[in-house]
Amino acid sequence: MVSKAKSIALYGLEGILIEVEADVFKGEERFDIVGLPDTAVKESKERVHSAIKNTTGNFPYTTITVNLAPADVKKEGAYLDLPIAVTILRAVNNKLIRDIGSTVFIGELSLEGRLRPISGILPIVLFAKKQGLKRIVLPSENAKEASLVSGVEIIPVGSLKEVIEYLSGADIDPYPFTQFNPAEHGEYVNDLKYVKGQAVAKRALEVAVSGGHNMIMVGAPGSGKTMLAKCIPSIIPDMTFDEALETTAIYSVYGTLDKSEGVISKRPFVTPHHTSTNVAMVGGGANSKPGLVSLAHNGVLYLDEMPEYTRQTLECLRQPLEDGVITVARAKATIKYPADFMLVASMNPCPCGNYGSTTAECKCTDTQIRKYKAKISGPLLDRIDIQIHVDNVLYDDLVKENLEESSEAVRKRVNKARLIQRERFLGEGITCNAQMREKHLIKYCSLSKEDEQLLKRSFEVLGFSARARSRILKVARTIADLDYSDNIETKHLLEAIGYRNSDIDK
Amino acid sequence: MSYDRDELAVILLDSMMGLEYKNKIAILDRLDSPKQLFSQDDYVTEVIYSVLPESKANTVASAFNENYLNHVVTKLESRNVRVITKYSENYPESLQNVDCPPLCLYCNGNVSLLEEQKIFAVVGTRKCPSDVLRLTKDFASQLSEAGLCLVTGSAGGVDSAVIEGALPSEKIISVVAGGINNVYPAYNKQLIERVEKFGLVISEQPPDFEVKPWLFPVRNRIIAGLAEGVLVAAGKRDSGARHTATFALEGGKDVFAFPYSIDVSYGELPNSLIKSGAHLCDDVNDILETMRVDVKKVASVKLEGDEKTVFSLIKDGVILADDLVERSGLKSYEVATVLTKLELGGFIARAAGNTYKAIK
Repeated sequence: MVSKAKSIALYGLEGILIEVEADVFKGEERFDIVGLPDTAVKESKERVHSAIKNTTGNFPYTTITVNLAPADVKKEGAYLDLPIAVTILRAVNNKLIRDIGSTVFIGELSLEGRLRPISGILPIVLFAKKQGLKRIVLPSENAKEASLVSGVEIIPVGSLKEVIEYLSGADIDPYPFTQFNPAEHGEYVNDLKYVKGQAVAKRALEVAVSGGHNMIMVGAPGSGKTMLAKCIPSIIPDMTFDEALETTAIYSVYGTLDKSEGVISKRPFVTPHHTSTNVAMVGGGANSKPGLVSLAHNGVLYLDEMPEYTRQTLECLRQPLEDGVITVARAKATIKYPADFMLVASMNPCPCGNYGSTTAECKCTDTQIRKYKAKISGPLLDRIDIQIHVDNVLYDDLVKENLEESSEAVRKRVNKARLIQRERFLGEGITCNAQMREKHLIKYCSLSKEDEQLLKRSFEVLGFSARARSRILKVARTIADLDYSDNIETKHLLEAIGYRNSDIDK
Repeated sequence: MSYDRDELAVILLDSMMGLEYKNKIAILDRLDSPKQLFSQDDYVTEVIYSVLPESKANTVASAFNENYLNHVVTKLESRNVRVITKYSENYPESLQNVDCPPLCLYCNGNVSLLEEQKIFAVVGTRKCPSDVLRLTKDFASQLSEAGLCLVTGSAGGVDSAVIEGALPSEKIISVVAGGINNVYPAYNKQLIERVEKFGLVISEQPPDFEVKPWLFPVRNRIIAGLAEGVLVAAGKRDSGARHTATFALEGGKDVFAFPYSIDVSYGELPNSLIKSGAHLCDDVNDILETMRVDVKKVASVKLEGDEKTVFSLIKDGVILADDLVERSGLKSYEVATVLTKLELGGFIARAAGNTYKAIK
């Protein structure tokens, strides 16, 4: 007798509906799985064997053929254990009568028949919803993560025994839908109130975070670039539900999602080491996993000492910076992962770090400085909207008892500015100023005649490349949003011009 | 382009890179005129063999024939190089007075610039902050607009700033240390090509001569020699610009220098020059008056409100943006706005880092 069950496989973040069929008939004792299974899937027959035997007391010693359709797609991982076990059980036991035509089974089995959680459950549930499937039976540890999606019934099961009871008619309460709440803001170790001085850099940080602008900080070692960067999580705007879903899906596939949390509600802050390989950065490898740029999706990618990264690694960032997506082409498949992050980078002004310092002398030659700066290519620099210098803080400033503004106050302004942007771009397919394209610039960043002249003059006097224009306009738009101004005024434009530094550009 | 026989003889002699300057001069000094070299009579041969060791003398003695001459001249013409020799009519008189006047000037560009009435040199270090470069560029453009022809080197930093400032008025001479085909540093090649097009590039060495460190001070004597006055924009105590200033002082020319506070390394040379008698220069008119060029009066712009507050703070020596925020009592975004306004108005320039300097 042949029985069928549905399951879902993942390629990147894309789902594919898998139909598992089992045929059990009298004959010699053998158990085959066909339909392009990989090693983990092939091994699942051992797990399924033991799990069924240890749950029901016996295993049908006959000929068993399991087919995974469509047969031309390679199946990976252990998540098909449960649907395979279900089809075998239903093929031999006619008491398991529940209609499972619109149910997805997913989960890894232990030898004693318990269900183990799998990674990537959120994109699977999202795909099930898209396919119009009504419910999904999954390991109870995955339930919280899955319950973020409304409209699909989540049936959490702890063991194969529960599954058998469920199939024979016993009801299991569906896991309740989890309302998404943005992360609670507790006390931050790195809070702007602990950063003394640096008024200019703090303001630039606020503007960058508000509009999602990429930013580079140039400054001598010890000037506080890293400290400022570490404060970003404390002022970053709250995530929307959709953003949280996207980011959670990536972490789910990557396999580092905290199962008890269920959802990532804080924007990720990813700090790759400068020895990271290209594959680690953009994704790929044998399993075509997402890379660090995708893990930073909807969050921040922080590159400390940017010129220390290999040039190739840095150039890899160009596509995601431009399109918000990274396409990983490997032998088996071409997979797209979202990678829309805010790039924050820091660098020294020269190899020794003291160029331009008011307190120490620079020992580098002209050529050394040129070479150092040249590691960051023009096209990459063009994608960084805000370029600022961070100066050394003097001892006196450090011990001053001045009360600095807290991250909480800054975050409130940032959230408001983001809200303005989201409302403005409703239906445009973008969410923040940094994502604006040429057509949005024309629509939302018109300048008065005088300001247009002013901008032109700034190009002549300060020697910007023509490509800097759109960057300046975007930043000016964000500054105007922080000021609750509908139009970009002269003061906004002037401030925005100040955030482009021809010193690094040259 | 045509040369007389004297010029051709000197060009040919100078094209032999194995010869030292003093040998070439020694040969030429003992002849009535350079064209005698072509005659190959006994006296000339005797002169050549008495000055040079035999191996070199053999080469030189056999080189003065029409074939080799054609080869050398065609090569120069293919590279658009016009040679002005010590025996040419248009050889700059100012160079006759320098130590070891160059035998040949290999020129590419507008040669008539060498006949300009007033040539003025602006020199300085390769490495100094962008506010100094901005100031230098402003000075260069004003000086060249006022009618001075500027002469400088070919390096980055101050040299490039001078070239960029003076290019629009097309009154710029760049003296390169090596041959014209070997511009140093390589990253400045495009800039120097623009000078070839709109100004003049000259070198004392044949086009393919390689750049050597010792050529730079040697080159500097030409810069100092051509100019009636020299402005030293910036440099450390041991900067190469020191040679230019020394040559100029020895030649009795006016030397100007920007003043600096005592703790900036790139201000060491200008300050020490001022101490030893150079003109302190903080206004273009200082130079224009001394060089007897019409002084132009610029209407001064009055600043008001926040701009005035911030500008006077910068003039008082508050240069860090963060300090400006604190001292002015303004919000950091207000200061950012004012700073850009002042920068666009040409009142201040951004130095390295987040520091600002007044340049007006």
